[in-house]
Order: sequence, then C-alpha cells, then structure tokens
Amino acid sequence: MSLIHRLEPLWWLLFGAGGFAAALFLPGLLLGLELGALGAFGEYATSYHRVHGLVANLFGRVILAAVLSLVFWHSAHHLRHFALDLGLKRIEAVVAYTLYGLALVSTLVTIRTFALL
Amino acid sequence: MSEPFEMLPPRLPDGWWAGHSRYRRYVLFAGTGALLWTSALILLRGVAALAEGARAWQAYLANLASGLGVVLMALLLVGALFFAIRWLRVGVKVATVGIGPIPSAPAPLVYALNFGGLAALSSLLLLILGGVIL
Repeated sequence: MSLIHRLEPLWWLLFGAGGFAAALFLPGLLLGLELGALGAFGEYATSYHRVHGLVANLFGRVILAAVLSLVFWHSAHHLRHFALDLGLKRIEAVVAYTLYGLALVSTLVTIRTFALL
Repeated sequence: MSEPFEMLPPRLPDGWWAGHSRYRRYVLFAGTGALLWTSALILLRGVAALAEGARAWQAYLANLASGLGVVLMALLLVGALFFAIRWLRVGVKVATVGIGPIPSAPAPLVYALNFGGLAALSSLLLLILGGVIL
C-alpha cells in the first residue's frame, strides 16, 4: 500500500479534475448523443463524416480524450473510498490496485482509440 | 506485563448507510462512480466505432436508439445530472472556505460560475451535436 499512499496527492488531483470534467461535460454529451441517435437532430447532424470530422480534429481529440481519461481516474478514486466506507478496509490494497489499474488500462485504451481515428 | 485486551480500529456500524437520508444520498453519490465509468466507456465505444468506419458508426447509433439503449442512456444521464449538481454544490462550499487571511470567494459568484458553466457548456455541446454550429 505504500506506493498507493505515497501517490495520494496525485489521486486527489485526478479526482478533482475528473469530477469537474464529468460534471461539466457528461450531461451535455450523453443527452446530445442520445437525442442524435433517436433522430431528433436529423440525418446530417449524426452523419459519419460530420461526427468523424468533429472528433478527429486535434481540438476534438485532445478535449475528448482528456475528459474520458479524467472521468476514469475520478471514478476509480471515488469507488476506492466508497469501498472503504462499506467496510472493505482489509482488502484496501487489492481494491486500490484493481481500480487504479483499471483506470490506467482505460486511459491507455482511450489514447490508442483516438490514435486510430 | 502483557496488555489485557487488544484495541481494535474504529469501524462504522453495519448498515450505517441506511440510518439517515443524508447517508443514503451519500451512498448514491459515491455509487455514481460506476455510472460515470460506464458513461465514459460508452462514449469511448462511439469513438472506436468512428475509427472502424461508417457502418460501425451507424450500428452504434442503432444500439443507442434501441429500447435497452434508451433505458441505459436515461439512467446514465440521470446519474450524471445527480452527480453534477452535487459535485458543483460541494465545489461552492470548498471554494468559499476562508483560509487564514486570504479572503474567500463570495458564494453567489462561485455558485453562478459553477452552474452557469454547466448550463453554457451543455448548451454548446447540444448545439454542436445537433448540427446547429460547426
């Protein structure tokens, strides 16, 4: 656990940044995406070429990749402390390494996915 | 002489979270971590579909428009809104705590910035995704 505890400032930094990323971006992204999928905006708005162009440019890639990665780290830290609140202190190390490991894998997959665009 | 008893670390009583409405809301808030993670994975799947091509993108949209997709996205949206409101309200409290001689920010200003930011960014994203701008 010593490594996890030594890196506490980093986890809290990612938790804070990810919290604001999730709070400010996710409601609009989820609502807009679902309305688009249901056809509320017409065919042009959700056409492959238009959305690909929006997401694949440098600005779109950087913003979206940062938001998604920060949300993964925020969620991992939040769930780690939730597990402690639920009394899982005895397996604290397993929970921490598992959640932060999953966040790391999710971030690497995010970077690779955006690189393929 | 050995200790007559062992001191155990303090622990919360079993079922503590059901004891008060504030605790239940706290548990719901903490549980949104799983919903946020799922939301990010679904958005990432959309990016992957864009990388795979037009057919994969259309299939992705069709999945989101299916009955199960609508229910899942509605649940995720409610979770994201619940999280956003609670997070931004906590943000007001954190930003307005006085630390020593440093003057704290006025709460109404921070409140307006946090929730104005949410409203402005959500509107901007809806205009972009709706094809009104860009």
